[in-house]
Amino acid sequence: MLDDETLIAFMDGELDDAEMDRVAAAVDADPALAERLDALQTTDTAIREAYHPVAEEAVPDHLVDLVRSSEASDDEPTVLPFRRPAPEAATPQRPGWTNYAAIAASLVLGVLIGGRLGGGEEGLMIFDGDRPIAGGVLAAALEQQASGETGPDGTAIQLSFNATDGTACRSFLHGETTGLACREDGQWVVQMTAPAETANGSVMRTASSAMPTSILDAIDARISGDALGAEDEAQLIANGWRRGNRD
Amino acid sequence: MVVGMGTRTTRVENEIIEYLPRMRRFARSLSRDQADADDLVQLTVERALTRLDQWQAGTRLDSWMYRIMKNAWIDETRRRQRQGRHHAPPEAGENVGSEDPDFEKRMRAMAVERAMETLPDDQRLAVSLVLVEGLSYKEASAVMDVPMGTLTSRLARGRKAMEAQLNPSAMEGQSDA
Repeated sequence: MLDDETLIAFMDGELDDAEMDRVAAAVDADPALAERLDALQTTDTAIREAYHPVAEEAVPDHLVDLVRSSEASDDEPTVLPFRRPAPEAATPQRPGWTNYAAIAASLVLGVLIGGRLGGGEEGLMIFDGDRPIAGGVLAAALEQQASGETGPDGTAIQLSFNATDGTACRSFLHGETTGLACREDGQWVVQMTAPAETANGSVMRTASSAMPTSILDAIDARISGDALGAEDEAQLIANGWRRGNRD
Repeated sequence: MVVGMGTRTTRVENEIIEYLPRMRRFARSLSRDQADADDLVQLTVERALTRLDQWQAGTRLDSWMYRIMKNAWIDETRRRQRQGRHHAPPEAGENVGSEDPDFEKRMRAMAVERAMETLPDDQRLAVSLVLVEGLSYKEASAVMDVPMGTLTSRLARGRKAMEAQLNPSAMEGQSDA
């Protein structure tokens, strides 16, 4: 009989594929094992249900105020030194963009917000809560322009790809700023920006001569499969980036 | 570089605020007393804000905060032990009438809270992070600063200890492995 530790790792989805299959088959074949798994699950469920409501409660105001009024927001240096994301930043079991705010905020979001794009050309990025949404000519280019083309205003789309969380993402170049945006809820959410530069030694060089390493790294961390081909991309553009139940 | 003024911190602050419900949940799984738990969240937020420069951009802010909270909780637990303080929180649910539709659910939750309190700190952390907070083994072991093998064994022992209290009949015939 399999030991509890194995059954627990099975419940947590922490075994490799072959092991998952092996345990699943063993549980199917052995009623005693199935019963044991059931008991373990009953305990897990009780524990989860006991604490789940806490996260649904309203957060006390004093905690929110503490963050909002923090000295850090006034006195801290304006931009954190950018370091390469640690390997554990990629968490396959939790696709999503929990890191985008951190990446963008710590990098050179200021280039877009406070500098060239935001300053001179109103509306290229609009904040929806804390999500920077592409607007104006940037949104139009992301929505309609094929990769490799440069629009009349100089906005270039470099490549499109599917992210591991199912969203479609595109990298762009506008003026001296490059960036990465992904389509969420019908909008292009800017994930990060960086000053344009000549990338070298990168596998994606051909698609993106102006893409800095930080953007390439961000793409590498998110991309599912290869960059979209022209045909797939054209179809998405024609469909308003809707496909199946993804969007 | 001054163009990012205010932007970074506002965004990180928003992210911290977004995590507060989860931080409160984690705190409650560590400390049954609600006031103690919220004190723990407050301490965690204060430390996170003053140490933002130590957080590695691009890594998970929530994992970093879990880790701060874990350390704060361990410090506090040790301090109380040194002072011989045994905190026995009142039973919040004692006044709950049995006609309350959520009565059974609350009783079960209280049983879980009591059982969690009996777990050794390291097992409670493992159970909280993986089961309650939904972290992967890899993430949880990073938060706890222990190898994966240590995490998995604490998790297994913690779960069996919980089971022994919550559902003793299911443990019949089970070895103590």
